Amino acid sequence: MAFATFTANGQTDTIVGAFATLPQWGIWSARVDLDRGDILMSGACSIALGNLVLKGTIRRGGIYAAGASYFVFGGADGWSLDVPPTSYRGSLTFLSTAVRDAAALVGETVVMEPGAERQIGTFARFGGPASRVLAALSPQNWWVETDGTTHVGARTSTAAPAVQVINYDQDQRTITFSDEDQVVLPGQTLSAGSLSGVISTLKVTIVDSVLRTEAWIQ
Amino acid sequence: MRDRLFDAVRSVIREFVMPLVSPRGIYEYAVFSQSGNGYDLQPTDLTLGLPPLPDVVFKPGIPGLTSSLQTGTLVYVSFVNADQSKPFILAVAGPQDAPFVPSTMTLDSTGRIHVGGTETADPATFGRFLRSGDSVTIGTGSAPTGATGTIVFGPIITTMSKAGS
Repeated sequence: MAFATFTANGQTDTIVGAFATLPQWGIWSARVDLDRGDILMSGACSIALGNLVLKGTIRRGGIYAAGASYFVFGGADGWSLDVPPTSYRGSLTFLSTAVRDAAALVGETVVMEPGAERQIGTFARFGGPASRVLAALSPQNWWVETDGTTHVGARTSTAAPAVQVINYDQDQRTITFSDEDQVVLPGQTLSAGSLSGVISTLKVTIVDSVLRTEAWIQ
Repeated sequence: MRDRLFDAVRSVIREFVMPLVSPRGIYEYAVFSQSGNGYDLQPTDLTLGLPPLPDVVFKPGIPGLTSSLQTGTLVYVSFVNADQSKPFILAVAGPQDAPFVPSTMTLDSTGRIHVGGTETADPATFGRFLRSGDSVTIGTGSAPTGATGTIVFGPIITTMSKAGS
């Protein structure tokens, strides 16, 4: 089963189990189980679940008797790190300035979505987790993309590619599919039967060598 | 890599129990300097993670009141609608926290300013403010027996003209 691999520290291992959550806004996270654990991996990593490639950073993990397991956060895993307090003044202060300043302190890269830029004037950045800057200036309108960059602004809604639907639940508003070739992401529109809407959260799992994706529909 | 248990406990405490500082709180600052209509403020407790705040306006809560605060004055700061881009001075610390007295203060209204009285109280019982430019009449008789004039501040007034004279 080579469709799911984990790469870090120059080494690529096969993923035998995975549980990844991609929210509509915020930071994606994933737990991966590997079939071997020759060396303890750390730092930047890449997770390939079929054609879905996630670039993130190992937060914790370890080598066990039958392999290794790692917990990974999107991007540089920097948004939970503390930044010192500071403030901005003047009518020419832009949202991107305050966000990029915080991002630079924690090793993240920011992409501004069209229409997201605005003047913020005075802004008081409290000391604490860097993500609070995003929460204050662009609440529920930012996310860490699969490539590890942090996007600020509203997602552009596009149609999801056609996938092989296994099941859908009208009451729970979920669509389950299994398709390692197609890349489906939050913010895209997906439909199955009478259920249709924008994907708010994706849960991608590999259990017993089977990749399965569950999409929550808004 | 970080310690798993420490991370989890820290996250829970920060998110739900004690989110350090938030824009919903009220915080003590000291006036560092005045810039135009605003004040540059410094937090008095550096352990809270509060930033220095530039150009913060004073909204004393009393309509018509404006004042210039002295450097070092302790003030209480909050944020309009919990918006970190809208800090304002909510109040000034009490007389026990010198310097308490502002360097200048103006109380203005389009009508009367009553001090120590109400609209129904006998005006003769209570004091009144007189402003530069206000007309006054001394005595109850009409001109030429009643003296009228205009309040002028500045050079010391040594004489007051009497109407009709």
